[in-house]
Amino acid sequence: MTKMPTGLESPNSPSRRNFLAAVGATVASINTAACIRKPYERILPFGRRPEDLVPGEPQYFSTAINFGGSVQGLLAKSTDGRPTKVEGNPKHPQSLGATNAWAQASVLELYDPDRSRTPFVDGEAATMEEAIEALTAFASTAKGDGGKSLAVVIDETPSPSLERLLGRMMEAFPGATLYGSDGAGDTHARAGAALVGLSDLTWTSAGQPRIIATFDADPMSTEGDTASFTRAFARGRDPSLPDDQLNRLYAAESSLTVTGSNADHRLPYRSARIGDLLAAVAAHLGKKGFEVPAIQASAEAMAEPWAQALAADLASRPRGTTLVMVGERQAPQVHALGLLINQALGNFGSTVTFTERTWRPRASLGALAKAIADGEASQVLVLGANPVYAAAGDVPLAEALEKADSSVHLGLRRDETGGVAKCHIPMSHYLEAWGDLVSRDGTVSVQQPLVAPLHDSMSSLEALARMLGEDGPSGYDIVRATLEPMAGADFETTWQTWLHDGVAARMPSKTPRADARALSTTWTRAADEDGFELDFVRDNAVLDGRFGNSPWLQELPDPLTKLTWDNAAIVSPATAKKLRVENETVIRITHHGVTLDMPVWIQAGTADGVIVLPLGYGQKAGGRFAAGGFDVSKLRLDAAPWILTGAKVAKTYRSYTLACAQVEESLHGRSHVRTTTQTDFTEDQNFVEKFEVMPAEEVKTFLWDEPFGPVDHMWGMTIDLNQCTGCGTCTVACQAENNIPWVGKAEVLKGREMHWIRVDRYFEAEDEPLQVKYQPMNCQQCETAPCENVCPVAATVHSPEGMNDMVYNRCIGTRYCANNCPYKVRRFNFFHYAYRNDQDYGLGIAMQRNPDVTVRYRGVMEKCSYCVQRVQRARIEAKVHRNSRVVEDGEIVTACQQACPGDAIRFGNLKDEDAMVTKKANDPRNYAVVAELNTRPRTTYLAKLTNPNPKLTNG
Amino acid sequence: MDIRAEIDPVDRRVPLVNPPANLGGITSAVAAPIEWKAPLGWWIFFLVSAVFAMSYAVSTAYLVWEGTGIWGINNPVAWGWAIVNFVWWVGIGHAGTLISAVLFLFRQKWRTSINRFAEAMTIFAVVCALSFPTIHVGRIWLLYWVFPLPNQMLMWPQFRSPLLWDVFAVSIYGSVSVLFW
Repeated sequence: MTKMPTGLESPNSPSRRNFLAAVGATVASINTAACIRKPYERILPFGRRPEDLVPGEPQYFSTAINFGGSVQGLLAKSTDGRPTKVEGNPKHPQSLGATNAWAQASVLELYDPDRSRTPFVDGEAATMEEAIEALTAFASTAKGDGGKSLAVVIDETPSPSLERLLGRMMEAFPGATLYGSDGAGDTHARAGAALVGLSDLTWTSAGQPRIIATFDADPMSTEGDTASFTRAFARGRDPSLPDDQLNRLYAAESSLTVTGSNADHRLPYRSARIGDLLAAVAAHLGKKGFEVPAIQASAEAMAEPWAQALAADLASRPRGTTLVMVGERQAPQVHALGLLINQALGNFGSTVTFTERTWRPRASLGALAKAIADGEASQVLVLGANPVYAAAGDVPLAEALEKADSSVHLGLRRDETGGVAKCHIPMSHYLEAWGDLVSRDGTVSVQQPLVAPLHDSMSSLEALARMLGEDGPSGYDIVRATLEPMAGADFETTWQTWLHDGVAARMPSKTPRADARALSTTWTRAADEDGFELDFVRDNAVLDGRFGNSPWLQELPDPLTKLTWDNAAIVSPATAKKLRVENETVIRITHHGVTLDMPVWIQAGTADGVIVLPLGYGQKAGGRFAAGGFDVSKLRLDAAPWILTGAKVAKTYRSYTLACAQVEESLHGRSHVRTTTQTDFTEDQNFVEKFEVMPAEEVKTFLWDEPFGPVDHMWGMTIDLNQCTGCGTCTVACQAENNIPWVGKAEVLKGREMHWIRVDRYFEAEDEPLQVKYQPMNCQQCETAPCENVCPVAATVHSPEGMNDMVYNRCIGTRYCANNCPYKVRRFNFFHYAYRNDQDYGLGIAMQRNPDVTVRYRGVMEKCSYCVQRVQRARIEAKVHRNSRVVEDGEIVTACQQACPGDAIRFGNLKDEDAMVTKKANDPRNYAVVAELNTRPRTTYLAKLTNPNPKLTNG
Repeated sequence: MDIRAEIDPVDRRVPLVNPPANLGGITSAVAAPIEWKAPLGWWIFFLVSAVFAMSYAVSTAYLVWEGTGIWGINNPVAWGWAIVNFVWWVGIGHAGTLISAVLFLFRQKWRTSINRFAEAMTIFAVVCALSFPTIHVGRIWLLYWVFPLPNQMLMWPQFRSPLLWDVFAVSIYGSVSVLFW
C-alpha cells in the first residue's frame, strides 16, 4: 500500500510526544478541559466608522471571474472588510446568477496559505522595490533588440484592458512572441474556426436549443460557459413546455462526463474516432439536402444507429433550433466541421452567437522550449500562468527556463514556474485587484477589488504597465481608460452604474458566414491503432490543476466517480476485466517510451479500450493540498495534448488507496429517485404515486401532538431532479456559507466528510445504455423528525415554522440522531476539524468564515439548517423595511439555491400559495423520499423526466 | 460462647457451613486472605489486571482529549465499539443476576456465598457497561445534562429518548443489584 500523501495527518498516528502530552494533560486537567481552548483576544472598535458600513452587516460588490475564457458575473460578499462568499450576479446576461464550484471556491483561494507573500529575485526573498527594479531591467533588456528575445506566456484571459496593454506591448516590443499554456482555454476551437474563416470571433451557445448534440464536449462541467448552458438546458426540460420545445441531448464521448450523464442518448465512443462519427452525422445530413462538406466517414460510423437517429432528428427540426457542440479535446478540423453543421442547420445567430473578442494567436509551450533552447527567446515573462506544470511531458520547459537569460514570473504561488524563474512576483487575487472581463456573449464586466492586497503583490495589468515603462501604475486607472470609450457622454455616472450592476458595455454580436471549401480537402481520419487510447481530460474539481490547492475542491466528490483528493486512471468495466484489474490496482501505462504508474478506477459508461487520465493532480510546488494524485502531463505530447492512441498498459501487483465518497452505485430497485419519460408523464401525470411503498392513507398519524401552531411561514424546499445535473456546486456553496470544515483524505476514507448537502449518484446499468441518476440530499427537515425524539438532551428540536433546529450549544454528542436519521444527512465532528483547518490553513480560513454561522466544536452533531441565518436576516429586513412579519417569496435564497446552475432548488414559504416552492410542491411530479416512514419531510423532490428519441428506444 | 450448633433450631437440619467456635475465630477466618502474604500467582494476576485497567484509563484519557474519532466510527456507523461493549457488559451483568435469581427462586440455602459472588460480578459489569455510554459522547464534560437536574433555564432532558430510558434502566438495575448484594 502506498503512503497517502495528501491532506491532514491521520489522527490515528499521533507522535509520541503529542500522545504523552495529551494523556498527561487530560489527567491533570480533567475538570478544566472545557476551557482550555478559549482564545485570548482584544477587541478593537472602529474609532471612526466608515460611511455606509454597519458592523456585522455584509456588503455586496459586483465582480466577475474567468476560467480559461469562460466568464461568470459575481456578487462578492464582504463582511467587515473580509471577502467571505461569492454569489452569482443575476444581472449578468450570460451567467444569470448561476455559478460553479470553482467560482464558489475562489474566495478560499484568496486566503490560500501557499500564496507567495514576497517577491523572489535570484532565488532570494526580496522587497517589492527590488522586484520592480528587476522587472524594469528585464523590460529595458528586452527593448534592446526590439523585443525579439521576449517571450510572453499568458493564460486565456478575455480582458479588454489586458488586450489593450498587450497591443501596446506588441507595439513597444514588436518582435515579441506570445505563448499559451492553457489547459482550460479554447485553442482547438479557435484553430477550427480559423480553418473556416471565422478567426477573431468567439462563440457560445445561446437561446433554447431543442436538439443538442455534444461530441466529446462537457459544457455542463468543464468546458465553455457551463453555468449558462446548464441553465438553458434545465429550462428546456420543463414538462409544461409543449412537446416540440422540450430539448433532447445526444452525447458521444469516451469518458463519462457530467454532460453525458444527463444525456437522453449517450454513446460511449473512442475520442480518436469521434471526428469520424461527426463526419457520419454530416454525411447523413448531406443526404437529406443540407449544405455540409462531403467528407467520407467510415462505414462503421455511418452504420451507427445513434448517428442516424441524431441526423434524422436534426433534419426534422425547424432551422435554428438545434445545436452541435464539439469539445476542446477534438482536433481543429472537427471543430470546423461542427461549425459548418451548425451553419447548415441555420443555428448561427440563434443557438450559436458570435461576438468579436480579440484573440492573439499563441504558440505552444513546445515552441517556447525550442525557442529558448535555440537562443531565440532569452527573456521570458510569465503572467499568471504555470507553464512548467502545464507543459506536456516531452517539453523540457523547466530546464529551458533555467537556461533563459532572464525570466519573470507573476503568479499566485511560487509554483513550479515561480521556482525556476529568475524573478518571481506575487500576483494579486481577482478579489484584490481591478480588472475587466468580457464573456463569450460579449458582456463586459468590471472586476472590483473587495480588499487591499493581503500580500505585497501586483496584478497582470499592473505588471504589463510596468513593462511599458509606467511608474506606479494603478489597475483602477488602466481599467477606466480602457472602458471610457465604451461609455456614453457621462462617464462618471455610467461607471458607477457599471460597478453597481456588474455589467458594463456589450460587444456587438455578429452573424458570420463560414467557408467550407478548405475542410473537405484537408480532412484526415485517424488510423486505427492497436493498444489503448489515452484520453487526458479536464478534472471536474481542479480543472487543469489551477484549483489544486483548494481543500474544498479536493474534497468535493467527483460527480461521477465520487473520488476525492486524487485522480485515477478511469477505465470501463470491460477494459478492467481485460486487464484483470480491480479498483485501486496500480497499472503501468506506457506510450512513446514514457511510463506512468497510476491506480485504476472502474467507471461504467467509459468507452472500452480507453484510459481516462484527469489533469491537474500531483503538483510538486502547487501548494500543500495540490500534491496528491498523479501528474499525467508526463505522458502528454505537445503536438497531441489530449488524445493518444496505441498505448500499452500492464498490470502491477501494487495498490493505491483512493478515497471514494459513495461506493454504492445501485438503487437496488428502491424508489427514492423517480424517473420516467416525457411521453409516459403526459399519459400518466401521477406516475410518482406508482412508486409509493405504502398507500398514503395507511401511513400512520403522528404519535405526539403536531408541533405547528398558527404561524406566518412554513418553510419548505423542493429539488427538481429534472433540473439537477449533479455537478456538486451546491456542496461547495454550502461549505463556503456554513463554515463547513474539510477533513482530509484519511478521514474521507473513514466516511467522515462533513458536507451538509451531498449529491448522490446512481447507475442503472441493467438496461443498457447506462442511466445516471443524481439526487442532492440535505437535511429533509421532517415534520415528524426521527432525530428529535431520540436526543436525550433535546439538542435538536422543531421550530414552529417547521425547521428541524440543531442547538450546537446543547449537543453532547451521543450521535443517536444520526443513527435514527433515515436520510443519513447528519454530520458528526469526530475531531475538532475546524481547529485542524485553522492549523492547516493559518489565519486565512478564519477570515473566510461566515460570522453569522457558528463554528462547530468537536463532539457536536451538525447538519443543514436551511440557511437559517439567511432566513433570520430576511425576517429582520422585512420587519425593518416593511414593518411586516411575513417574508415574501424570493427574499430568502439559500446558499445551495443561489449557486445552482440548473436552478433546481427552490426554498420558501409553503403557506404562500403563489410562492415558487409551493407551486413546485403541488406539482404532480412532487414526491417525498421514504414517505412511508411518516417522516413528512419539508424537502421534497420532483421526478426526473427523460426525453428519448422513440426511434432509438424502440430498437 | 460456643456458637456452633449441631442442628439448626429453625430448619432442623445440619448447617451447611460449620463456623469456627467463637467470634475471634470468625474474624481470623474472614481476615485470613487479607493478612496472608500474597502468593506469587496473585501478583501475576494482579499485574495482568492492572495492565488492562491502566490501558483502559489511558485510552479513555486519550479519547476524552482527542475525540471519539479515535474509535474508527463514521457517519452511518456512529456507535460501533461503544455499543458493542455496552451490550457485552450488560450481558455479563445479566449472567450474574440469572445465577442469583435461579438460586433464590429454588430457595437454595447454600446460595449466600455464590449470590454474593454473582452479584458482585453483576455490579462491576454494570459499572463497566455504564462507562461506555458515558465515554461515547462527544462532549463528556456536559454529560450531566442527561439527568433531570433542576436548573435556572428549566431545561429538562428529552424524556422520549430511548437513550434516556437507558440511563434510568441501567441506573435502576445497578441500584437493585447493589441492594440485592
